[in-house]
Amino acid sequence: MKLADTLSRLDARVISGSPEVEVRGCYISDLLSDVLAHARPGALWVTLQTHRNVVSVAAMKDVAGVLITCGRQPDPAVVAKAAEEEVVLLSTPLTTFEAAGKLWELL
Amino acid sequence: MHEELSLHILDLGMNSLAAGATSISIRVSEDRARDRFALLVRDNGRGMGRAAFVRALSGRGSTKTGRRRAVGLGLAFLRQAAEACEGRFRAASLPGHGTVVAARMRLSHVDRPPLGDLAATVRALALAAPGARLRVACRAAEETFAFDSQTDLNLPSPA
Amino acid sequence: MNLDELKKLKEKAQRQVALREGHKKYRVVFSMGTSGIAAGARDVMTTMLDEIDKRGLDDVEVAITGEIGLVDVEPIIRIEEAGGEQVTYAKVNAADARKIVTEHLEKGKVVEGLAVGKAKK
Repeated sequence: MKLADTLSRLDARVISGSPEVEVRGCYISDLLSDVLAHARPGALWVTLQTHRNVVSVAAMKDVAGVLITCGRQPDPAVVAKAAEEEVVLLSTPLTTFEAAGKLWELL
Repeated sequence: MHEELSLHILDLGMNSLAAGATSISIRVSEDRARDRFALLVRDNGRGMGRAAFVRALSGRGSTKTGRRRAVGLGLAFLRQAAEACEGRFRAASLPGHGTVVAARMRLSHVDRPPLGDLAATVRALALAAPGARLRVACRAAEETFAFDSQTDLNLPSPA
Repeated sequence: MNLDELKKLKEKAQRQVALREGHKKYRVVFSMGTSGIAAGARDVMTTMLDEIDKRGLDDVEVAITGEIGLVDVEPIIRIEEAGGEQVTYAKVNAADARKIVTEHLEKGKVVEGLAVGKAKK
């Protein structure tokens, strides 16, 4: 399934990058060291963190993209970094719980 | 961010060793009266030039590494932790001289990671570089603790 | 901050350093870069050192290296046998660490389920 196919169900919009990538699973965590240790390549990382380190860790782990929940917005410097490091960033007004529920159905 | 501040300290100490440090100095303090937690790691390694330093602070790491290596994330992680806890992060590096990293945060901040097992961190660093001099000084309430690998482990001084 | 653990540290560290004297049959190498630390390598190391200490194994030397770049399978531990094989264990947890001590270091038997690589040194 492509990330693009999940956008309407997740009420998500693309902040950076192209969603035409395959999604293989999902990892939910707001603790960056945990994601570094446990997320798998190709997974969609769901978090409410918008810190620039999210982009570094996402790039390092080759995730399909990062879904930022609760309507939180990364600042322009973080978006620019995502573009530079080719990390797909998505944003949704849903809570992490709601997004997880929809993803569970989809994936 | 790491789960414990002592893991951040371990990360920084390992960076120091990778930079060829023969001397690492760690200071940790908890000050309840000022609601402040502070840590500092200083080394005499090869240091970083401006470009490398900026890359390290922004979480990019070495240009020599591939996309999937986590080298160099330690500084960016600690900076994030300090910022999340109404704290302050400072770092300076001088090629040929070394690097110093200092972070301060509000002791009672709800997002502040616990210090955790500092003894394990010191143990790991002492093992990682038996030839280096490792000094640790901690201060909490009325108590202090000091460790110096040169005197406490009967090691020969580094050249 | 609990300073009691720190105080006990000096003795433990002294014993560890004493272990480095002379040639040992086994060398245990822990990977402790940012990703190893994030995966829990330090606590696995502590468990293993305490187990080695407890069993009085003195033919073992311990070393720590930095980032080795295998971000998905850490904590990683490599056991090198003098004049023999080098075995790499991946995704090691505390229970695994104890098993490596009792089976591999004490009895010389590689823990097959955990080992991911073997090579002649």
